[in-house]
Amino acid sequence: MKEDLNMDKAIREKLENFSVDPPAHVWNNIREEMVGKRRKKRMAYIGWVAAAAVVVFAFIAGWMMNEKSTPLKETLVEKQVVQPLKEQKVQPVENQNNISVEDQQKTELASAPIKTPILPEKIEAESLTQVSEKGDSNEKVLNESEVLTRNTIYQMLAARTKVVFNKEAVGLGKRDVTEIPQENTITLSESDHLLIAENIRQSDINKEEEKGWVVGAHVSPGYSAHSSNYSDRYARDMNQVSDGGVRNVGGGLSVQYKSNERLSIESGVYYAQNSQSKGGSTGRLFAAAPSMDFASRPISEADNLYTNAVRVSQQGIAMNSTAGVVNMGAPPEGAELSMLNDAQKNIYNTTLLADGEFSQEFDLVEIPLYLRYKLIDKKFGIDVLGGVNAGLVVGNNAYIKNDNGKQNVGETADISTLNLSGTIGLGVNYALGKHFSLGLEPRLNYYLNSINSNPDVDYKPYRIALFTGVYYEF
Amino acid sequence: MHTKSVIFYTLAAHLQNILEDLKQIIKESAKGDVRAQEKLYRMFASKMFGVCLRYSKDTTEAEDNLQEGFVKVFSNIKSFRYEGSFEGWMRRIMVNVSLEKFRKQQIMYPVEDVSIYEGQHLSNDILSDISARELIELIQELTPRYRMVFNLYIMEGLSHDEISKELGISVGTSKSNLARARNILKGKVKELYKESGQNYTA
Repeated sequence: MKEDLNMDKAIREKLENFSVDPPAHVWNNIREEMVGKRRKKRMAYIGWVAAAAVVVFAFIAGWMMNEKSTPLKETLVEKQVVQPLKEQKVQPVENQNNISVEDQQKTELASAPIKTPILPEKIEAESLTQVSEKGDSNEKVLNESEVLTRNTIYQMLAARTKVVFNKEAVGLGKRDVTEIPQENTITLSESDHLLIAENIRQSDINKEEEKGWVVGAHVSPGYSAHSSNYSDRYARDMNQVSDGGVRNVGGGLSVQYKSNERLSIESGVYYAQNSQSKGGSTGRLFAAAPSMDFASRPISEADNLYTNAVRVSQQGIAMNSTAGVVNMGAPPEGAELSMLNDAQKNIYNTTLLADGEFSQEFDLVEIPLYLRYKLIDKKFGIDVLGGVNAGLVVGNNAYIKNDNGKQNVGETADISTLNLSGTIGLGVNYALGKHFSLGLEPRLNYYLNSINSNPDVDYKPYRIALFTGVYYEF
Repeated sequence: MHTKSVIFYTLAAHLQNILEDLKQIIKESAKGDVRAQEKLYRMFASKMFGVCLRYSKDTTEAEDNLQEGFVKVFSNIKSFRYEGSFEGWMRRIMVNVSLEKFRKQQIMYPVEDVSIYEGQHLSNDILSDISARELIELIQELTPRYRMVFNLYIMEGLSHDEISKELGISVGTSKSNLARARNILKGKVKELYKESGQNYTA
């Protein structure tokens, strides 16, 4: 027992202050591990911020859309309608539409000094607006440089040691057989450890690079169309709805932040167009006052007519069309406008007839917030992406294209400047090198709210586009 | 006399400076300052490596534990309250890393047949001659549990009761493991010195 105690004491004294310098690679590894940890923390933080941003965005979107889709009461309409009618005694104007209180007020407020006194006719429930629309698109592709995995490094090292072994065994042949394998296979020299540590560090740096920024430039040929719905009242005055889409080209810049190897957050700015048209080279635009009996259209080639209700006043011409009411300042060139005398038995006093193709075009600038996930992360990669866009209508025009050229005839009323759309996409990309890559990505962009704030019109553009682009990764 | 006291106060001030420096380094390390962390590492690494070596089966495992231990030290350094020695705090972390590893891999290791070492007597002279390095190598040859019990009892000063809780074994097992570890070590020391041509008798 005593002997044991003595022994314990002797051992303790001997070992208590025993110290050995650890090999240099240990510190390198510790440093790398610490850096990695910090990075992880940072990533977690960014992840939360992104999630919060999406939630806020979704909330705002829901709120905006709810507000917009609230139908306006029409109870007071009759009363409101009467008033303007009295005022306009000059011309007997047909009106059968109801004006909601709010719209009426809007009109008066907005244009009271100019319009109200002169207008002989009633104005349909609309406020004026400018509209435009565009398809938008975004895209990005990550390309990433290959990162050596630790395994690879070890394999390389293994291969390296093997070569050394062979050389020594064959060439020199004087070392003990037992000694060589031991040295080569079991014990890595300190320099090897340093090499490994350095390689790991480098590969971590590469990974860090993958967490960096990627910018892209894009061209997006696509097809834009819309889904739409109208109130009965509105539809009654509109004879035809354009259902065809239009091919067009958009484009833009994207910027993405890679939060890890596969996931990135993407934004940017895109330009796109949304438009629809009706008519065509052989068609004619025909518009008549609301009470016009369309069945008795005057022209024989009735099938080619693009026929909509119209209201004509000194202020211009208003016509219900696909994306909303179009206000034209003047009849398009080449159009025939006939004002019929009130004394005639019919009250369809005004008709407009024009050859050509009628279209409504919206220019859109979209600011996206997307999440992009790499399904395949190789030289040839596949991504999925999804997210929302703030869609800003920056251009709003209506055109008639006929023998006189393409004329801008006015704009669509009630178009909201700020809208929300959703985007999904699936893309392939190809890495050209360490920094550059090419991407090809079909995307569907669908407006979640009607870009027309008129409660009678529900017009949601969508666009299918092929985003092609080049990306540069820092 | 005067000179002596001057020397004394100079030394004391110097010591004070060192301690203040350490405190400063710890603070900066806690903020994530890599240079401060490296300083701290340089100050304590060799000592802690000595601790890790005792608890490991070989140098590679000790390096791993040292690395893991220091990462823990830097991650938790904010919680160091400047009570007690920093070195002791660090050392406890290193020991805990080894303990955790041991608990994780508590697979059954073959227990060495110790009968051949039973009742070994060893003169203290041998122990005073053997180098710390040699002694550690012998300790590393012990099975993990013997090594654990031996280290915790002799080096950390834990009681058998505490050891049994740390390792999840009974007090009796702890005691017998310690006795066997001692005997194995004695036998090995003897062998070592026999082989190296020295002759010791009890």
